[in-house]
Order: sequence, then C-alpha cells, then structure tokens
Amino acid sequence: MKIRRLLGTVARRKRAPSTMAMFRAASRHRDAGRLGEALTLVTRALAAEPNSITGHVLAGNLYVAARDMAPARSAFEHVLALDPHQPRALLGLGRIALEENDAGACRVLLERALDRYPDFPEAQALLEVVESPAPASIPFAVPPAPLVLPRRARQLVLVGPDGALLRAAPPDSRGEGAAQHVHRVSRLAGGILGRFGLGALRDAVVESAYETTLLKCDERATLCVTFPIDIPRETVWSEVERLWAAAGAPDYIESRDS
Amino acid sequence: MSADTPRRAHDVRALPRAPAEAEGVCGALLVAPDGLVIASHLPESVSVEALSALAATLGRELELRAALPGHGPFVTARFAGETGTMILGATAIGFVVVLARAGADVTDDVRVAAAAIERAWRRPSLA
Repeated sequence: MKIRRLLGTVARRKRAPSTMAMFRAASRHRDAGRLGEALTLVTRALAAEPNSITGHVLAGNLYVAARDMAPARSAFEHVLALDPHQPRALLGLGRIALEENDAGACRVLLERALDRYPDFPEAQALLEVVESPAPASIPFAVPPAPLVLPRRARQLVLVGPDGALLRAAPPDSRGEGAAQHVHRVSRLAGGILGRFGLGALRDAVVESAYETTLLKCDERATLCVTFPIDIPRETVWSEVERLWAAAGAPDYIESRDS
Repeated sequence: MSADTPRRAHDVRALPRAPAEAEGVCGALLVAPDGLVIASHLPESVSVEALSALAATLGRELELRAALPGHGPFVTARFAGETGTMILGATAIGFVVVLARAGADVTDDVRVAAAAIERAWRRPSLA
C-alpha cells in the first residue's frame, strides 16, 4: 500500500512538469526557431503561474520574434506591473516605442533599464542611437534648394540630422512618414558602423523585389531617393549625386567655388 | 513538432559562416527580430549583444518600409561607412548581418546566405 502511494507520487511528478521546466523547454524550442511550440508551452505555463516574470518576458520576446507587436507589448507591460525595473521588458518596450517613432518614450525606457542595470550592452547601444545627434558644424542652407523628382523615380526626401523633413517630392503627405523612417534607418546604421570602427555612414542601397532606394548622407542631412529596380545602378547613383549637389551640399559648393 | 527541426536549426546556424569567411569580411551574425543571436561568427573584439540589438532593430525598421506607401519589403541593404561596410539580408527567421572592410563587396554573398537560410528554414517537415 505504502509503495503504491509512493509510486503514485512519482508518476504524478512525471506527468506534471514544473513551470520552470516548461519555460526551459520553451526556450529550447525558441532557440531552434520553433516559435509556435515555444509559445504554446509558455502559455500553458503562464496559466499555471500567471505572475511569472520569466514567462511573460519569454512570451514578449517570442511575440517580437514572430513580428506580433501588440501581444508583445501586453506581455512586457505585464512584467513591468510586477517589476517596474525588469530590464528585458524595458528594452522590449523601448524597441516597440522606437518602431512607433516615439524616440522620447524609447529613451526614457532605456534610461530606466540602465539606471538599475548600468552594464546592459543592448540598452546602452540603443540609447546612443536614440539620443539626439550633435548639431552639424556646417548645416545645410535652410531652406535647401527645391529638388525635382528625377524621371521614373518614385519618391525623394531630404532629412535633417534631427529627422526634420527638409524637402520631399512628390510634395504630399507621404514625405513626413518617409523622413521619420529614413532618420531611424540612418541613425541605426550609423550607430552600428561607428560603434564597430567602420566610420560614419556615407551612403546606402536598400533593395526590395521592385525598387532600389539610395541614401547619401553626411552629418548635415540624408538624401533618400527610390527608383524602380530596373534602372541601372550607375544611372540612379548619378541622379542621386546630382540631387545632392542641387540640394546645396556645402562640400559641393566649396569644391565648385575653389 | 517536426522530426527534422533540430537538423534544420543546425543547418541554419551554420549558414552565416560562408559570408563570414569571404575576402575582406570582419564577421557575420544571424539575429532574430527580438535580438536573440541564432548564429555568430564575429571576432572577440565585437560586442555581440550591442550588435544584435542594433541590427535586429534596424532589420525591423527596414521590414516596416513595406508599410509605407509605394515601398516593398527589403531583401538586402548595404550601408557604407568611411572605412567599412555593413550588409543586412532579410529572412523569415531574422537578419543576416555582415561587417566588412571598405572595398569588399559581399552583398551577393549575403543574398546567397539569406536565400539558403530561407530554403533550410522552409524545408518541408518529415513528420
């Protein structure tokens, strides 16, 4: 009788893994890229232990990996309700804020994480990017010269170092959103290049299936022009160089006047 | 759960090695959108945590281009600095990131690696 009771306890233990064991198993699934299996396990574990910080952080990161930002935000907010300084939740919410073009909120969240955990390389690196850039020593002429959209080009924006839209063509409501996107891309890419010793960002090419987007930039501005993919690369670069000069880039003016 | 998934994950982790070994390349990384490092072939001097956080955020930002009017999702992006270059390639599971010295044009290597990762990842299940 006694042995049967003991055996029953062992069997029950085998049938019901602890929530920590489920989180560990979920992490293994996640590391192997099995996001669905990982999320199923985390959801089951959280049903058993609804206030598990580990579980909600894991859930938030899994949703971000699946590009599902609304439940990711809920998961990270749940964590902060339990622990207002949880660094991974603050980082996760900071990244979501940055995606939503709220650099101010992102900065506050990262500073909160670093306040408690100063040695947090991910938060340090992102904070450097979202902090305001130093003012340009030789700013563009304000307002810069008008820019005409090259034939067949889809869109151009000229963006200041603070993300302000200086010029857009066509001059419609799309320019503001494009300027914010270009600013975030140039800050992030510039942050990586600078941090890893590759120098300041000078130009970029972003390719999609249907279009080529070219960026040219210095400390004063970023020019971004999008062309259909079928136009030869040399042609689009020469158009971008011409626009860069037409915008009033000081280096161009200096070389022209000397 | 698919029977071939562990092998598939193993395959994916090995794939960024090819661009990492190309002429002029300083290192390569495969990072998930949440910043988790899936595979890293970087010198010890490079902070993997900082690079993964920045590259995942940049990759997501480039993915979000597709939501802007008149734009499509990015395939590759090359960022040239004064003394070197960073190339990003988009895949379903994350972003291939390659850091290279100036003059090394490895965009095609990144494109090939990203396509191989995509193929390995989407391989039909044996289960």
